[in-house]
Amino acid sequence: MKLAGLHVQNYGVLQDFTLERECFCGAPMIIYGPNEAGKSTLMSFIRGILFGFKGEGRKPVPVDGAAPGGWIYLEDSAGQVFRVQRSGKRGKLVVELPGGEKEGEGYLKNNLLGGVSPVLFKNVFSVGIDELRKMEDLKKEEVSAHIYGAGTGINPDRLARAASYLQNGARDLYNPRGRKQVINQLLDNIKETERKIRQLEREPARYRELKEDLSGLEEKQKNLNRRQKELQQRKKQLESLLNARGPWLKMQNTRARLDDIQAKSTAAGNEIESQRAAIKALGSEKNLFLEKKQKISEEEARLEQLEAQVKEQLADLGPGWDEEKVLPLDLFLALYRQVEGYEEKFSKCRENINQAEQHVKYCSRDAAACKKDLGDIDKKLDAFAAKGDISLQEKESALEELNGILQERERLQTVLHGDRQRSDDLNSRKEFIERSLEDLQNSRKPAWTCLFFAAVGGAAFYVLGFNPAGFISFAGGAVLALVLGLRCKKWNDAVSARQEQVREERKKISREQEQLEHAVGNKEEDLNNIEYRKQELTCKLDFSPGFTREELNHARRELEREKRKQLEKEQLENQKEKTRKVLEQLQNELKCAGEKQEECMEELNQLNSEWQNFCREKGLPQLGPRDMTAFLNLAGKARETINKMKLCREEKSRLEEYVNNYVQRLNSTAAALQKETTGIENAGELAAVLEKLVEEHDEVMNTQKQLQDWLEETREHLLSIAGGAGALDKLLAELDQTSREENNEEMDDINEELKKSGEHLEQLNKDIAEKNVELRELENSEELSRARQQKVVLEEQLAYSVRQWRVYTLCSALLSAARQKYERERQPSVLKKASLYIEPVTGGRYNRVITPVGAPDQLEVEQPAGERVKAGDLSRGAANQLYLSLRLSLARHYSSTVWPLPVMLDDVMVDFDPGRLAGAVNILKKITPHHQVLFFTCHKHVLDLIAEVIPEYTCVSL
Amino acid sequence: MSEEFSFIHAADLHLDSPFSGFEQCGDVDGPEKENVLRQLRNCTFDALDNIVAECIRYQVDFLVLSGDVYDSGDRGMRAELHLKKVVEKLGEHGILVFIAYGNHDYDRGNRARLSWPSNVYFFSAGEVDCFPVTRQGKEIARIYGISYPCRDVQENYALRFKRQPGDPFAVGVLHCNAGGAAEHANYAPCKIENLINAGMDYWALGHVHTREVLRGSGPCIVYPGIPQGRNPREAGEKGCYLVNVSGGGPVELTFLSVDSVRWTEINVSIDDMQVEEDLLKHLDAELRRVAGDFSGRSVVCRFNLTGRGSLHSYLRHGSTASDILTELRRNFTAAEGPFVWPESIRCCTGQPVDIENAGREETLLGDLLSLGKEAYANEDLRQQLRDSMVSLEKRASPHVSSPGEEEFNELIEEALDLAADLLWEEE
Repeated sequence: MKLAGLHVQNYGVLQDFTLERECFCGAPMIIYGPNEAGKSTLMSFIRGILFGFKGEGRKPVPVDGAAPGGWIYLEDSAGQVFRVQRSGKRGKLVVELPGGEKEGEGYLKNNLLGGVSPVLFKNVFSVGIDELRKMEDLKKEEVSAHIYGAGTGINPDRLARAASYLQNGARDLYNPRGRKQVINQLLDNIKETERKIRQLEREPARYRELKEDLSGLEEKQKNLNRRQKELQQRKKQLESLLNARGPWLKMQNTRARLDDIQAKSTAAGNEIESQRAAIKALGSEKNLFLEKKQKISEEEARLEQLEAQVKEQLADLGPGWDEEKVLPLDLFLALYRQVEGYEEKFSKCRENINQAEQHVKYCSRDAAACKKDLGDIDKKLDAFAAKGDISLQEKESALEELNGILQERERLQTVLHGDRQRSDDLNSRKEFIERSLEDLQNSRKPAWTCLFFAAVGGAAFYVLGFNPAGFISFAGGAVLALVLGLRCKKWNDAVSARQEQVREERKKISREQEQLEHAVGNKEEDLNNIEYRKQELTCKLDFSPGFTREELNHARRELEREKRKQLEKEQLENQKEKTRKVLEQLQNELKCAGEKQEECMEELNQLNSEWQNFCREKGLPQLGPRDMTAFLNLAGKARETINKMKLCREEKSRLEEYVNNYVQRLNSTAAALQKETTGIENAGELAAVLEKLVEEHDEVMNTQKQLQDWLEETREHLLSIAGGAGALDKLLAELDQTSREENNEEMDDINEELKKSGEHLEQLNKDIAEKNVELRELENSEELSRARQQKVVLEEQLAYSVRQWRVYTLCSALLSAARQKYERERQPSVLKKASLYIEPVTGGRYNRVITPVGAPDQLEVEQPAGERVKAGDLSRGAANQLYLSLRLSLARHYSSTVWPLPVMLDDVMVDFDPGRLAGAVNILKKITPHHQVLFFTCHKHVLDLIAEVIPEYTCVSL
Repeated sequence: MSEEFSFIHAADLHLDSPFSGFEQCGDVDGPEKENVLRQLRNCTFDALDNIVAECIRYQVDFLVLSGDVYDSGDRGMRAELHLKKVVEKLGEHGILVFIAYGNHDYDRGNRARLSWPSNVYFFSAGEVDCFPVTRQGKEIARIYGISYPCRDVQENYALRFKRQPGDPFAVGVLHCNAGGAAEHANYAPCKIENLINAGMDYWALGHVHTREVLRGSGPCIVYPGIPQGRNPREAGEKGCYLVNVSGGGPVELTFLSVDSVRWTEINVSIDDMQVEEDLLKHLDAELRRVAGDFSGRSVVCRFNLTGRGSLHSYLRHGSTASDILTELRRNFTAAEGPFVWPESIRCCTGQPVDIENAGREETLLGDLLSLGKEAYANEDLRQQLRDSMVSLEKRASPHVSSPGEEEFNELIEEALDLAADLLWEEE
């Protein structure tokens, strides 16, 4: 089957593109064009027509958006041509048979393409450089798969991924020696769940055991409860006995004691009752009596102490002072204030005297200082002696005038010097002008030169005669004479004009010289006047006659010094005046201070006289005001002590009166009770004896009453313990018959038994509760249900996982078997053919393509010397040459065994060097008789080489 | 002439047996998950409760349970106590209960010693017992029955049954494989003739989980089937038979549906589906239909996806199926009450490739597919493939056994589909 023409309606960049039958006659057919001319699009179009446009990775949709479409012509070996058209949005295929019938996809695939799959076609019969280069990037273990891909229509990546997917999938699910895989884990979980189920299935037997145990325990519980009830009753009785025994014993003792008290009661009690009020009163006053008795002693001691103190204080006041003199003294606060007033006056007066003395002293000292200052100032003023008879102002104005004169003199001298230089210049210039006039006169050109040439011309004319040369000579001489004559005239005119200008200038200079001589005369006169004035001023200022401007600054500095001295002198005079005024003021103050001092002394004498009168009036000793205050304090203290002594004597008398009265009343009561009387000293003890008598009597009466009350309470208590009158009799009888020790012993026995039975019962209750809980749990337990459910869940998961694993394993085994089949049945012939192609394609470097024994998934090439190179180790170009050889051999294999199909190669030789390219083209030449070959290229050298090697080619340029 | 009376015939309760169908429950959590698990766990008990409710509703005279009341000889406390409770309840309504044990709950193994009420009768193991049923002092029927002493009873127990003269209506209670059906374990095998010859009026059989009336009359021989389906093989409506016996007239059988959770399988073709959303919508609609059809009853549903199409690669290699399953479960489960539980999505789909034609191509895939086809018949190749799986069978025994021939063929078919998935390149 081969292509015999095509028409592209719409496909990518191709529109209404037609290749006629003649184009396909070449062997091979070259489609040549630059990049993007549409070569690959054309190859894609042919594949699209054959197998559908959907499978084409490129964008087949034309630019205008219309559905891709077109047709191709296929010619079979019998020369019949079939039109295969695919168009429309769904890419509908129509095969038009030579007879005009129309068929579909099935006919194309089975009858025209020999059943070749689109994948196989794309990998073997329609190869671009991309497909070829995919191989070189593959890992070595995938090389074999690529070979299968090249022949079986499976992308090598896909085959490798599939094998890996199956292997990993199975390995993740199950590993015979693993533990973490899904199935391994599920099996472990099922085993564990089954163990749990077996354990739970023994629940019914346990239930029966529990029921029987529970029944036994409940019987024991019942018996124990009954026995405990009996013990509790007896315990209660014993507790009553024990509780009652104490009160019962006391009641017996109380009765005996009451009888004894009643027997001892006497008639003395009546007398005590009659004197009870008096004894009670004496008893209540007893403490007061004892206190007052004690206080009398204290007052006596205190009085003695005060008397001694008064004696000492009177002695401190001085001789002659006693109680009678001290008590009348006026020691009120006013007297103290008066004394203090005098003391203040004395202090103030003395202070004034001191101040006046200080003032006099200070004024004398300041006046002396002022006098000394005046002397110093006078000495300084004497040092400023008067210099000359000219004032500083006159001196200053004369100096300024002298300065102006000197400046004017210098100016005039400078101007005069300039005028003189100017005069010299004018003279020089006048001389120069004179010389210029002479030169101008000499520079005038004579007229003889013109005449000379005229003469020469005339002479020549004369000599030469009336011939042209004579005329020419004459004319030349005339012309020269004329020219020279004109030039001489012009020059002389210019000289005359210049002479006139120079003369005018000489006149001007002469006028200027006259004016300058006049000005110099005036200035010399001014200079003489200035010099005269200068002499006057230097004389006035007492300067040397040769005074110059350089000395002027010195004179000015002198003048400034004189000014400063003048100012200093004026300041001293001012100071002297001020000092003199201060001295006068101080002398006045000194006089006033002396007067003040005398006044103060007079005042002090008057105050002394007043104080002495005051002391006499108040009866006080003649002391100073300060000593008088101390005296008054001592006198005040003495008078206070005397008053205390008097009060002490009065208090002692009152106490002695009360004590005597108490003793008298006590003795009268004691006599009534037939007791001995006593004095003051023992009165307290007697009162205590009487009180004790009363207390003893009261105590006996109280005890008797208490015992009676207690007997009644105890009976009530025993009745409450017994619980009733009948029970009380029984209780009293048992109390009488038994002892406490017997009761306690019995109680201990009961308690012990109760404790043991309580513990036993508690344990029983606990056991029963536990067994009941366990029974309820067993009755309501869903654990077995849950475990069984869990087991089913796990078994479901296991079944699902096992099925998955089996499918993976089976698929993997089938894939392995398929690969073995391929290696066994197909690969050798392919490789054999590939070995025929590899030698010329690689320029003889390799001559065999092989797969090593035991490693069918590896591909190697062998050199003529036997050395082998793995496909992965080949260079890029060599690898492409190997895989091109493999594809061409696969195509040959397929075409020879199944169906001949055209081979389309899209620039697969771009990496080949010239030698190997020539070899590859030679292989093409060998193939073209058997296969229709369409070779797409954009390389001119490839086209040229094919044209050279295979003359049968045809070429279509895009 | 017998009195008119009625009874209910049920069998194979398999109390407390687990319900399969939630091997992947991780995508629903919380009360929804617990609701599903609880109902699935309790479904056999609920079915028994429903039988009791029907007994009371129809005021039957007695209830016959023909074996496999429990799921194993070790019955489990929960199951025994529950049965006792419902027997007591029936006793309160004057309904007698006749129970025979079968191959699952044979009369051996751990069990609780319970005090059973007087209205229940257990048939002896290995011996035919007979109990009269009386109404107002008059016998209206006589119940014959026998229990299994062990699991593997190979004796033909039917031969031990013999109707006594004067029985007003004889009922034979037997757990057996009547007629030797190959798909059932062959316990107490017997022939129909054996049953006929025993002279019973009604054979209340058990053991076969699919309901079947072997003989409509003379005598009536009935398998009521399992009252609660527990796995995909027990899909569909399940229940018991209400038997009305009229004086002299024919026995009237009425099937009563008592299952609380129902299994169902739905086949869905992906041929016309382009994207996953199409599939999700379709499955959602199917579940809504099922929920409507089985109103008031919980449903466990398995989807079998078939056909070939572009959706296949997503289902096979991506997480599409599990994602859809999760979404559906979230939509159809609730914290309480009936639920619709999509149990799984089984993908039996394939690439849009013609396997037959692909197998003829001289490609590696073609070789593989042709080898797979060859494996259906080539014993050597078949054994070679079986050998590749033997390591797992050794390790996982007894939970995993060697696949049967039919299953093995299914596995090959799935493997070929997988190979096509992996190796087929779209043009």
